[in-house]
Amino acid sequence: MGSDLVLVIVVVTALAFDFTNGFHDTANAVATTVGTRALPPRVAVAVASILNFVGAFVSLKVAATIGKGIVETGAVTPTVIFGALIGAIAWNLVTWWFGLPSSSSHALIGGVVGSAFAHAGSSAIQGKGIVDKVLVPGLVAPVLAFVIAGISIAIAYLVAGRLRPGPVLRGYRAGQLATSSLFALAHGTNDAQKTMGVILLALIANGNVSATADVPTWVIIASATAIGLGTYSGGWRIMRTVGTRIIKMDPPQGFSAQGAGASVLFTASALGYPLSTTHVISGAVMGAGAAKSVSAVRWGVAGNILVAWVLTLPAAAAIGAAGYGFCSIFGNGAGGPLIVVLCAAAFGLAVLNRRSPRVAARTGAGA
Amino acid sequence: MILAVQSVSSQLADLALYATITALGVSLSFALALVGTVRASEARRAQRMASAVPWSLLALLGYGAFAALAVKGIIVVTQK
Repeated sequence: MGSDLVLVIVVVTALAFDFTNGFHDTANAVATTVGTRALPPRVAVAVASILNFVGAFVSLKVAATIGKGIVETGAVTPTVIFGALIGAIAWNLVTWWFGLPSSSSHALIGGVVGSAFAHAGSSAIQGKGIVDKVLVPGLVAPVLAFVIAGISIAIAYLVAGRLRPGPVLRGYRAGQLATSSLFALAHGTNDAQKTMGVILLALIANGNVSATADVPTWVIIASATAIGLGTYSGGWRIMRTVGTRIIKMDPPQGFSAQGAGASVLFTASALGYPLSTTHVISGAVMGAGAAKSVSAVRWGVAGNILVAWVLTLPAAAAIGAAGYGFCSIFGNGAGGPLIVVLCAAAFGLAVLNRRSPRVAARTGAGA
Repeated sequence: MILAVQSVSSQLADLALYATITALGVSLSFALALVGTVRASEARRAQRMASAVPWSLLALLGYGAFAALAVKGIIVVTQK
């Protein structure tokens, strides 16, 4: 009974992570579309939400790979997974609060590393996996997207730059609908899978399913729904940063950033190379701005984003380790996770309660 | 160790090369499609039908190439 309660808490927490992943990463697909007014914000997030939901059903191959090659599988228990999720959710919320786009996947990996380290020590951590799956892709994704987006916008200006601006801007806005939809679909196929993987891992660790089992249908539906709802709720703070604060974007720049980003992302998928959609789109937006004029990029904002990326793994790991450590004070049962969930819920309600009068006073979305 | 580094470097080189080619394809095809659309529309308005036809053809080719790349992208993400 006790372990079943831990499992229920882990599943609910995993879905909460999926929700934060959705609203945290809404900006990846729609920020440039909203920033260039190609679509109204609510319509853009609704389209992204549907495509994220659909994407979650499309491919299940990633689901079995979460944590693989990062930590020793023997070190993974439901409580370790719970600690990891707490680390990832907390870091997602912190970066959302400051409007900084950071990788939810890297936050989850950081959480897993910290929690497993607190549980089983350094022997549980596979350093090569962290280098291959986090550090190298973390460097490659933004740099490559930056360069390619720069070349793409140069081509766009060179070929279409002499035409009347009216139809060109309308054309690029229309093109952004395609590139933004592709981004949202790719995000759904990538990120909902991670939550499915986490829940599957918890079910295996708790002995509910065998290690070779497929992802249960209810897990797929729940994960798809959570990421879809999270995307629809819209992470407006991060959207403002990516869509308007890094550069003041025109439609050709928005199209080039998304087109270059999607090209990098899909090529990486085809080659089996894991890249963060957040790193790719942020790098591409900076590249599309810098190619027009280096001073067009607000490098202070870009620097803050870079700091958030560098801090993601250690910060999520530290919170994950603290989460696991706190839970282990109460033994292996459901007591620790239950207390953490209740404290988090109380904190969340208090914050919502404090914010609600200000949000009601505003006309636009405030999240 | 050396083999692992070589393998990662080769994968990165492939990624850089193919992603650049794909992005250039996306950017160029869409830009050419827009040029074709706008020029064809201007030619039609000026009653220059002989000039409108090749511009329309360019637009069709551009949109076709862009659509093909988008479909390829969907196939890649759905089959990974």
